[in-house]
Amino acid sequence: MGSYLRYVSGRFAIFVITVFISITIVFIAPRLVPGDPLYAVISKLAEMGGSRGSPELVEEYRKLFGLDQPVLTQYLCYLRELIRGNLGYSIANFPVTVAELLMRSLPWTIGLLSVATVISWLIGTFIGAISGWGGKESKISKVLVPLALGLYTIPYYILAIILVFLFAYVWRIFPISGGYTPGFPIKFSLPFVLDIIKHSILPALSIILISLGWWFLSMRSMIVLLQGEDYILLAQAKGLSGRRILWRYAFRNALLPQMSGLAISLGHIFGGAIILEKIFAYPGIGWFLYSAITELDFPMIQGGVLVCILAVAAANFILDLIYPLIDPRIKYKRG
Amino acid sequence: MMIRRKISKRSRLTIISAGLALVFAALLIFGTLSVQNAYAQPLPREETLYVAISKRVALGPKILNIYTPGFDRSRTGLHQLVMEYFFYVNLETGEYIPWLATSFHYSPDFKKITVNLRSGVKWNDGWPFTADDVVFTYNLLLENAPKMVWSAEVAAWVESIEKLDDYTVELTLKKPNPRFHLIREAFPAVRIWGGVTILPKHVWEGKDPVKFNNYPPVGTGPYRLLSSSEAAFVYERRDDWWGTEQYGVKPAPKYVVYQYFGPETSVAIGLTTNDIDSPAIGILSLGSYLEAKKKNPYVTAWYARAPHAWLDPCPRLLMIQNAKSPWDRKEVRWAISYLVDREAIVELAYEGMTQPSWGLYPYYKGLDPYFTTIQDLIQKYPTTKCNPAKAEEIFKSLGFNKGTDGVWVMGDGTRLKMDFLVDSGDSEAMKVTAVIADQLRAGGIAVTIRPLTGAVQSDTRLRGKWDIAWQCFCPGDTDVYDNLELFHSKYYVPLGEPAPWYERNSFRYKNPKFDAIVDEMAVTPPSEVEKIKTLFRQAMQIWFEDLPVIPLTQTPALVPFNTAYWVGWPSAADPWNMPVNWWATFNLVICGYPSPKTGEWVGGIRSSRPR
Repeated sequence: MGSYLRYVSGRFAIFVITVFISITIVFIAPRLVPGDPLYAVISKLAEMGGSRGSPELVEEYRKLFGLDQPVLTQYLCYLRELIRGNLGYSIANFPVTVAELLMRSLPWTIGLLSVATVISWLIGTFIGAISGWGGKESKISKVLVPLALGLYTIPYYILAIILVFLFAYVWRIFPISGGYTPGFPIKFSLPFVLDIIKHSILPALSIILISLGWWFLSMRSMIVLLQGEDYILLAQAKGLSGRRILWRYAFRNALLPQMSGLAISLGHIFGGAIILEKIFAYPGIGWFLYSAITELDFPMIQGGVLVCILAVAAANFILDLIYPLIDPRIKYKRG
Repeated sequence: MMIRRKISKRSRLTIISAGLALVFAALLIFGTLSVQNAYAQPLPREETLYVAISKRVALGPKILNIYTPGFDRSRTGLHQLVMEYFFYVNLETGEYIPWLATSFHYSPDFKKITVNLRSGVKWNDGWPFTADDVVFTYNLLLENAPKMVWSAEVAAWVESIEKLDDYTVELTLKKPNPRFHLIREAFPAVRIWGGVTILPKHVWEGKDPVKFNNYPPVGTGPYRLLSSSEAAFVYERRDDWWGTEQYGVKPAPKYVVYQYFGPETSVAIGLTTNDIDSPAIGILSLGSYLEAKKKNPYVTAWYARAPHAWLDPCPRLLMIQNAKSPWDRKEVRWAISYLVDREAIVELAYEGMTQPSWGLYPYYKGLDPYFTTIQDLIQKYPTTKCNPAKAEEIFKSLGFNKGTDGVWVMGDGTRLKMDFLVDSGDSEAMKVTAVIADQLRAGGIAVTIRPLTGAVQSDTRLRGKWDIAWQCFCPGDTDVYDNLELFHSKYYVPLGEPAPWYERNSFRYKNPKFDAIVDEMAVTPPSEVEKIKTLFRQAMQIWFEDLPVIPLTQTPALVPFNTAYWVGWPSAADPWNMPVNWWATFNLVICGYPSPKTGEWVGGIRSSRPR
């Protein structure tokens, strides 16, 4: 138990250091870009068809956001507020706070991408295992491998456009875009939940179909490789059934890299899927991050990237914790 | 025992898997089919007007404060449907339409302006709209300048405001200004896009005017907000709107939705399937529009045939950095002008939707009397002419020689290089820039296109860190003074410092003689047409001679309409208003308006399926 605690505290220290270094880089990097975040405000005013009185407004907001202070002062303020859990106001969307913008977009991203990722992982992994166990000459492999390769190589946004064309235009089964139907009373009710599901099916399908190819191919390769392993041969020599060898021996061993892949994919969903969000006009954090970066909105960049950093670092941390539990070959002790 | 346990485990797994699969399948099927009816018509299609917006609105769903700098008035629909203004200008007819105000007049010295307000107008929470609201709004702007959007301009002009009675206010100006009623940033009259907005005192009093969320928004307009998200704003018609009570006019759509449908392809599909009634400017290319029109006969635009587009009030010009050598020489600027083939720009970048432009004004009929006075100058200074031979002649006269690579070399031995700044987020700018860059390269200039976007682009443009940049010039729509004033040296700042605005002299032009004429024009009432004409001619003589920026094209605004559910849209065949759903004037497109001459109600869209 002592060695496990040491292992956990070591990993936690790495997690904290990673997050600290990352948030420092995220603070510095946007400030190296030659541009003034207050001009995001000017960009908005430009849409009004020219505007008088803008320089005075910009200078006022520069003071309000503390951007007239030295960078070190800004950094210390940022750290202090971060510890207090305050991500500040978005410059481009003042007076909306970064936390509010995150809370508004994250549930959509997590809901769509995590469900789609897990579904594609489950289907791809299981079909990949069955296909791999059947060998190269099996009928299932002959059909599924080219299909998976085809799906994997199609960019998901191309597939998304095809899906919209087929299911929203030709057959009109699903809506063209959006997270839910405008005008729908927003409350936890069955019709509203079903409306959300209906709007999420095409975006989810474009992710599932594309990533399915990858999960299928990677699992299939692992199973094919494992078939020559000594312990598989031993199991066969013992006369165990093929199904038992596949699911109890080969599958469990092939699962480790798939689990790592799943954890990393789940960590990355916090970066959003900007093109998908664009095509389906689907709410999410991808658009949030894109706007923040193009508008040099420092607090929004810092807040959005902080979530991504925490998600990826946490995914790796959790993976480090559960690896020894899944695979007894991984030990806590050094040497 | 062992066998039993194995079987039971497997059974459990099978049952759980089958159960999960069933639940998922049920949700999927139920979601795709059953929801069809449940969700399909939360808003009856035949009573709803759908406007497609070009992007999502981050600031808006919960904060609808029109005076915060990031607030998106156009895409939320707020200034079109909920807020209203004293007057609206109809650029098509030249009418100055009374709305929340019925009339105004200046004092003889143009230091005071008295405004008579319409009585019987109610805010959408039932409170009356009175002079108290107007006085409160102006004082709020004056006290909070420059934090509130446009408050700096209000503070620059307004000394004080006084309530004369419940429906009359008097503004005292800091200096005489006979065209104060045309400054939309200081007076609630909409010429283009929008204007300073009067707020309900009973709602805003005691609130922080910058952080107040103003949700739900209280306005005097014909609609009230029903629901909002980043992607859609849903409005419902008011039965107690003053237009209904005073004129018996009810806006035809019961609901109006400003919605983000996604990229161009989705909007084209939505237009084809009659899910969208009016997309905003800049979403559809001509190709997508024509494809939608081919598939759906209900789709149309300002012109039913080519050039399809309405004329936008902001012409496109090429800014040249006057503060940098060799662009500080007017001869060089003229040579650049001769190298530009505007017809090619029209064909290649605009697909034939517009026409070359000789100057800095939109071709609106109301400006024709002024244009007539300078016809000889337009002939003398051929700003629409592409003449590479003339450009070569000018370069040679300046001592330039063509190098072996075909690029001009100046007297000091340096190559004629040009840094062409472009906003990469603006597809129109990208297209035009590519065409012009090719033309200038063919003319012997080493052009480097520098695409930037967002804050970096704005910063670079305002600080003048470029040689040449494409730009729209607003708003010279009804008054020739406005666009000339953009060239006044009071807006000149040294290179490296941010200019007040892009077209407000970020090209750093300076000519004291020109300034003097513009200053005189500023104190001349627009009603003194003959004097304005004389001053306009003098100013344009200098402008053409110096050519501080290079005219390119008039501006096409391709704004499609769908007539499947709603008809009566303004068009070239019936130009009763401007077809712009992102301006505050869209209120008048939906509702129509009382003619200032006859008092009769004009226009307004109506249902194509009368019941």
